Amino acid sequence: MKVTVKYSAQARAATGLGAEEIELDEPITVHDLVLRLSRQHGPAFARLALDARGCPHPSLLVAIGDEQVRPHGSRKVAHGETVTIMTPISGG
Amino acid sequence: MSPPDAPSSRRRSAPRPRRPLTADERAVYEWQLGIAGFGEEGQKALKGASVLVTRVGGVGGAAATALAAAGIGRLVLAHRGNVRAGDLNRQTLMTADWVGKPRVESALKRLKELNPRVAVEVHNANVDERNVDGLVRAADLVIDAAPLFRERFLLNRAAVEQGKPMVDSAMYELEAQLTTVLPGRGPCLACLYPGDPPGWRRRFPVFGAVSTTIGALAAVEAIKVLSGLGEPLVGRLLVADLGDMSFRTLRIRRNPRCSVCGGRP
Repeated sequence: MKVTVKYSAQARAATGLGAEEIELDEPITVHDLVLRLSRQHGPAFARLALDARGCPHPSLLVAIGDEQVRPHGSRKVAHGETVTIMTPISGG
Repeated sequence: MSPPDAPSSRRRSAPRPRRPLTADERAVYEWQLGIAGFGEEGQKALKGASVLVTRVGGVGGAAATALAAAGIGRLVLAHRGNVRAGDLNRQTLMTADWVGKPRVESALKRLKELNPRVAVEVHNANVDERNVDGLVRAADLVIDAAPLFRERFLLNRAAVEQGKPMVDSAMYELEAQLTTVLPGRGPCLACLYPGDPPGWRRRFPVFGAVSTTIGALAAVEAIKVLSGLGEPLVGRLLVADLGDMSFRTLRIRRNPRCSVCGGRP
């Protein structure tokens, strides 16, 4: 199954990607997707996405479609869905 | 703050007597008095309202400018420090001849030149634990345009505790995020960001054209909330990417365990 992952703000800079398509064997939780992306994209992204315990950071902004989901949550990502990963920004 | 009464279906609620407009005000604001759902009652609501803008850099300066032009009654501005050369690419209330002098004085001067009818109160200070309650208390609505999450969280907590609406506006490179916190009616900033966000640095890449855009959008939200016009971004996060000119709104929810608004109605 395939899902599209979009990156925004500093997550885009850390991955060097605006978006990518991910191939999954089966639906996985948002929590596991964030962990997988952190392994895939290395320390620059992991620093933004994970907390000190190596879990998805609670302040990472994640949306499936147009609905915010908790980054450590159990919501599963299904085939064809688009996940947006955004880091909080504070530029004023 | 309470929105004015109005006949239009685009207006949401709540009458309160307002001071009438003068002939001079009618002349100055005539191009917006015809906006459906706004009209003279909306203008009177703005005239009777006050907004705290902090800080008045690229985003906040643009928001303050738009609110002054629209005829807000009073602006309360908070921003510490002097104008630097590096501010001038985006901080449109600052001028080259004011480098080395207080930012808020430049902001005051520019805003009064734009609209002398607007009362402007300035504080040469950034938001901190000691002044946040007083600053928020001084206004009907808060526009949060601070570059540090510490300031944003302080403003959010004070706004929620005092039941004041807060427009949270932020940007990075060509991207922007905007939401409106109406305490008790939708999520607050701490619902969105339960922990101290990782990786944010004080210095961020910015074009003035981008910060001005998001500042103007924040002003639109403030005008809507204060006048009862339209549908503010309550429970929604606007995510704009000016790189490809995409604008989308995400549905965001209150966090029942939120450390700021979780135990409140």
